Amino acid sequence: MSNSPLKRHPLRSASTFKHMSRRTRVGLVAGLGLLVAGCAEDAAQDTWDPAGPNAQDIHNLQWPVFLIAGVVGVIVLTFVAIIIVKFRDRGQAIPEQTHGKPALEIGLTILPALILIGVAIPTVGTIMALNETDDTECIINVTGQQWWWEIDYAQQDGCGGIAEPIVTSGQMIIPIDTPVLVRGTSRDVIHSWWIPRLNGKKDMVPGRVHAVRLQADEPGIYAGQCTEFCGLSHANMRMEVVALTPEDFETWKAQQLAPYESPAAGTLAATGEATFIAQCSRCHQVNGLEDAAGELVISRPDLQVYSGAAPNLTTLMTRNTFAGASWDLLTDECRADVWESDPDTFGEKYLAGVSAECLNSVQLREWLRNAPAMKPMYADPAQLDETDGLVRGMPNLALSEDQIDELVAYLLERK
Amino acid sequence: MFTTGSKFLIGACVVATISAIAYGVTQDGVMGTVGLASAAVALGFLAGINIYTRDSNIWDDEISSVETAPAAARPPANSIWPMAFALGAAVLTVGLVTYQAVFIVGVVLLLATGAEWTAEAWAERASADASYNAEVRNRIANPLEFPLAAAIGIGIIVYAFSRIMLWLSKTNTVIAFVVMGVIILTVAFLAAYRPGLKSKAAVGAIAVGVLALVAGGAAAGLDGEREIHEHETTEGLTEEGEDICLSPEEFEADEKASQSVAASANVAAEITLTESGTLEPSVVGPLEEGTDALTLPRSNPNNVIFINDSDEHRRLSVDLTVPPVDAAEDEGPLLKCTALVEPGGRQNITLTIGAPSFAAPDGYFFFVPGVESARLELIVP
Amino acid sequence: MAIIERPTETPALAGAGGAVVTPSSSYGYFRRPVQTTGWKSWAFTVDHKKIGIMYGVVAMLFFFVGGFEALLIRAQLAQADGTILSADKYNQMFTMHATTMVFLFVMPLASAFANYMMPLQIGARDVAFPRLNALSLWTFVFGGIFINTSWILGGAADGGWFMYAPNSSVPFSPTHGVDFWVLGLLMTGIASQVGAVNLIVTALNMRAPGMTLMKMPIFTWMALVVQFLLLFAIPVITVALFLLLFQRNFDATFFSVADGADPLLWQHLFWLFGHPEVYIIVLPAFGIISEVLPTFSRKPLFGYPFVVFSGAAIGLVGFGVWAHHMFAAGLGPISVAVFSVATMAIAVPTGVKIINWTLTMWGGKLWFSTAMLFAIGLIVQFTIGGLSGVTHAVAPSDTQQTDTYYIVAHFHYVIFGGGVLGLFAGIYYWWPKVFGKMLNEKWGRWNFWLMIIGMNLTFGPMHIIGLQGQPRRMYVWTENRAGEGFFNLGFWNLVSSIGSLVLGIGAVLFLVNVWVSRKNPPAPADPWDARSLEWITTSPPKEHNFDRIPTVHALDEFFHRKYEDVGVDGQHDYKKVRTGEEIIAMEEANAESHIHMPSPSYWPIILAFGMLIIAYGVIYSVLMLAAGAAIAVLALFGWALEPPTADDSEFDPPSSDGGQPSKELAHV
Repeated sequence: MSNSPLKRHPLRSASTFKHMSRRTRVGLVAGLGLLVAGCAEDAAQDTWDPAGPNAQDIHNLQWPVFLIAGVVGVIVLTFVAIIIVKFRDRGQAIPEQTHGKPALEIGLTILPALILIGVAIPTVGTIMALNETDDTECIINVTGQQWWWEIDYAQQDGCGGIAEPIVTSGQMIIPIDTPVLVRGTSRDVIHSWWIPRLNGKKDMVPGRVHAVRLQADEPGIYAGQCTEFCGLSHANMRMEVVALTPEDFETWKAQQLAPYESPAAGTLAATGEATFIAQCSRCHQVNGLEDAAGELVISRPDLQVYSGAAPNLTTLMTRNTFAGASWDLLTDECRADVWESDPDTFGEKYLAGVSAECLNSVQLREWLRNAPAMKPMYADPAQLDETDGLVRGMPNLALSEDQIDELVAYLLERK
Repeated sequence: MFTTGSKFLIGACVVATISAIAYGVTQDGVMGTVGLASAAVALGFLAGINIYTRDSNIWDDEISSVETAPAAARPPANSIWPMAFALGAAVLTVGLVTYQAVFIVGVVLLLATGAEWTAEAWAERASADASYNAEVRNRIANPLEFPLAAAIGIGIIVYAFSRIMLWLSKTNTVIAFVVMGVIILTVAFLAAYRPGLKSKAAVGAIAVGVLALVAGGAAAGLDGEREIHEHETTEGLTEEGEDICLSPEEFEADEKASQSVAASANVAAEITLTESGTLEPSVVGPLEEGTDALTLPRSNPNNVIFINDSDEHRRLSVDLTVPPVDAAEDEGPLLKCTALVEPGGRQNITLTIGAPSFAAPDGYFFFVPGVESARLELIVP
Repeated sequence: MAIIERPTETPALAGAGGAVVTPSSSYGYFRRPVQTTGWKSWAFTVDHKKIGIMYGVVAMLFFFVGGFEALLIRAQLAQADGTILSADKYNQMFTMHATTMVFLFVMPLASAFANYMMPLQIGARDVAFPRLNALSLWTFVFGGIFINTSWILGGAADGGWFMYAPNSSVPFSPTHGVDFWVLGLLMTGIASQVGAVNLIVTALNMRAPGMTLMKMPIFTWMALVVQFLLLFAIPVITVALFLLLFQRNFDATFFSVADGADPLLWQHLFWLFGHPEVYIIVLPAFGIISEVLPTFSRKPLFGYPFVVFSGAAIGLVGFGVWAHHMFAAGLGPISVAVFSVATMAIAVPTGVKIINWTLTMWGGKLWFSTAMLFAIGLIVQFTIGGLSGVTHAVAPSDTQQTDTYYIVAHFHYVIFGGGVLGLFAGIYYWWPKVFGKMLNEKWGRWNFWLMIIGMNLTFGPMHIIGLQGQPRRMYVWTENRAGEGFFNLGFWNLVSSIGSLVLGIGAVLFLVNVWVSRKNPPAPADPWDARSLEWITTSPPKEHNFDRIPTVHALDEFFHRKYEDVGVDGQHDYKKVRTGEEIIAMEEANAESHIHMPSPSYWPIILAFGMLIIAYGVIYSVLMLAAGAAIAVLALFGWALEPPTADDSEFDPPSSDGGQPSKELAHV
């Protein structure tokens, strides 16, 4: 809903037609006074800035409705203004005590009814179209949990073929120009999946699987936010959809499924691996990680966490956010570099992951030092009677500064 | 004549005597008889004193005040409460030596009649105006009497009806219920349509109906309930020590157990046992034909519907065995399954799977006991 | 055991012609509280006017409590990553802000008007069940206090006013906050339900002679529709609240997914109540301005039957659109389409109302008093709220808007613009009727303009904030997603917070106005040249409302008694033939005699108090629960025992004529 169509976002559609029609619409609407003042530019979750066909369908439906509402509003308010000026008490006689004109009233009842019928027909069509599931070419599961999203790619022929399940969190990677079907559910309370620039929101309800379509026209990052109130840290439950070209998407899949490599012996990261096994692996899975005895380390968050899971950290540094996508793994500079790069170079920059120079180590260390202080979570042992001693969210592990150094070094290699 | 108090004491004495005799004849042991006989003697003694002193009532020099008292205007009406009260006391005493239930009935009777008696006696002294007194009595007693009487009456009818329903066979209960509904509707219709219906006749018919119901309930209750099958849950072992989930046979598992509300909409997956004996999963969206694995999220209540398209009764089982975190707490294999599903039937099973499938040496898999070819891998990432 | 046997006959008494000795004291009930001054005259009153005033005072108190909560919320959100409130406190704050405003302010303030005005408007002496009326009031008061004590007893409810399952279950909300909320709302629900029955019977059975339903004043009509809505909506939320109560306290599994439940059950129950609730909130205000606009336009309401029937239609259709609160909940396309269309349909009768109000003013002779300003403010603000409502009747568009600030903007324009402004119009309009003094018009204008400017500054920017993607119910928002440029979301959030401060000051000016107006001279009997029945009596009205029950001939009875059309040949010329004072004096001169009013009673407030103790008992101790139940049973018994009107002997001193017919005899 930018008031300045000339200042276009680099990631935005280059389609002239869309651009022109958008400018026209914005001009119309703004001219009608619906937008009495300016709006933010490049707001990450702008619902009037569609970046894919599903959001575009919604937009094509909603702007005429806003237009009609605006026109009706202006007419009514003008009418009231005229009345106020015209019929103020200037000492005129008591007016005729008329009780109404039924014909006029019936007419004025039918008129809005007709307008609404006009709105209702395309509405029903769009509802049906947006609920179509059979034409999608890639299925991605999302699971909401207090207060982060787990995203997993089941084995399938879709998405260009996925041989082994991929599990990630916070950021969903999709190929561009591919209709994606997101199948979502929840582990605890109701959450809502919403990527405003790609589609409307859909609640993810425990025990039910709800589907929502996504499709992006251009590579880039599309921000989203859990929009169903889900408890204490609802505000810190975010997610992002990262759209890549099909080639980049293949690279990403390969990254995710690359075999585990232990840190070189004697490095800080190698000590970090042992610390990770001792402190973190009860909940956080790292695929392929083996303990000193050569046994595969299998985390069992279901025995520690009330909602039953914790983010899989196998490829943490290929994502650029952590803790429910609420904090960036990249420093401000590096983040801006990725977010604001043009569509051609975006994939390359994103797939580079988090380097040592770009790591936002201040916040990552703060998180490791005391997670619940940074993100309100229900992790105070004194309050855990009601959940049979299971935590909700990550507790304060009381790590020493040395341990934190080791862990950061170890995590930096997880990509 | 006898005073009210004397009537009560005489009544109590008589009941105690009868009880003593009855107890002595029917029960072994003498303690009860001795106790009841002692009570009879004591009550008789008190009754004698009471008759002699006329309830220690009326002084000669206070006649004027007695005569002008409001209550003096009317004699007390006949009252059933003294006798009922005495009956309560006696039942209570009998209960002490026989059954607890009898004792409780006695207590209740005693309290109820005592309250009624108190209210009546108190109201009769309100004024010399009988109708005013009746109004006073109703005002204090009706707010208690009506709700309690209604509760008791409804309770009796409901209990009697429930006995009849439990006595009838499953099929007949449906018929009985329908018949009952029809009767009630018919009566209501007649009452509405023919308001001229004699109220006495109507009341009589209803009374007969209620009486029949209560009598039927009593008879049915004495005869006992129909045989009710114990349903096993779908998790656990049979009497022979065989895991239900491994067996293709009926163990009277409750077929309705997991057909819950959530079963109808937006489930995680539907798994169909085809006529050719394979398991075909189906999820929202296009999943290529011939998929040999189903993926479900971890630690999540997943609703999975099993559809039996084969010709036999079948159940869907799933093997979720993982090595224990602590070897000392090995609880053996973890199997879950639906109850036996009739051909063409469907049933929901809710699976919450804590450990990932790669924790299990052979992975997780769905299977159908008795159908070798029906096997479907379950992936939990 | 002194059982007394009396002689069968007392000759002295029998000889005296069977004279009956009447009892000198009441049997079976306490002496009634008959004080006419002091706190007892308020606590035990059954007078609908006193009850209405108390409803209003308590509701206004909660208005400022809820407003304070709103200011804290806006202070937290004025900047990114606010630190004024913790996440926990913020969640409690927005839950309680909504709960307070909806259940403890708007609904009871509407009840205040309905209680006070409905009997006056239909020419009745009181409501049908005066003691039930007192019970409604005190149950509401104790319920409101009960919910708010949770602030100091471990934290208030934190699940949002919609309290979606399963987030409201104990593991996700372990404090007693939700229990307080559930029990408190059950109490206010009892208050509403009892009040609904009472007012429905009153409106249907106690109208003055000649007042047919279609001659009933429009406010009474709308209040009647609202009572029917309450009658059918409150049981639904009560069921839901009981399910939640059992889920939390008695290990029930109504919303436990692992046991086969579907959490959407709660949403259906809640919104099946929650949507009619919207109309419960706005229809009384619509009724009020449908009185105010004609009065200050000097014209009858345009299309009275249309307004009546559209009100009834809104009430009816309001029960069929609840799922539009759940467009994103995963209902499936067919349900969504049906409810989407039904929601558009309800816009039609709502639009009819706006058309009728504007046409009422058209051709009138407008007098811009403060009450009129608030009424016009309602038309303007509610139109904006209604039109933004149409944009999310379109379900796909709603999936972009729901749970964002756009919705917050929408319903504040509807509830504040369409509800609260109307209620304020009513306060200014009826203040001289209720208190016999005018409110200061100059302060009233400041009050109005600051509130209007404040509300538009607060809620206007929320349209933009929401459409540009900021969700609701977040205790912090982040710069990262606020966009760029001068008019970014940070700017609009700040504007909104400043606006809330302006709105707050505007609301406080109302209190200032009450204070400066306290010593105003007595108001004239007919200060606004009004049209309806409540003005055909003194201000404030006497205990028994009318000296003579007026006979009604026309819709705007009072107007037609004052004015006569002296025009000829189809020319209209209305001349004032009598003043309001003269009409009232005429009524006084023909006063009816021996008016019996219902007597005050201890029991309603004691019964409500018993419920309060029961509620605490459910949370804290069975013993307390038993004590509360004992109090409640005692109160019920006492209530059942006492006759509706106290015996003359209970008055101290007894009335001079010993119960004989008299003009002064209006027992209270």
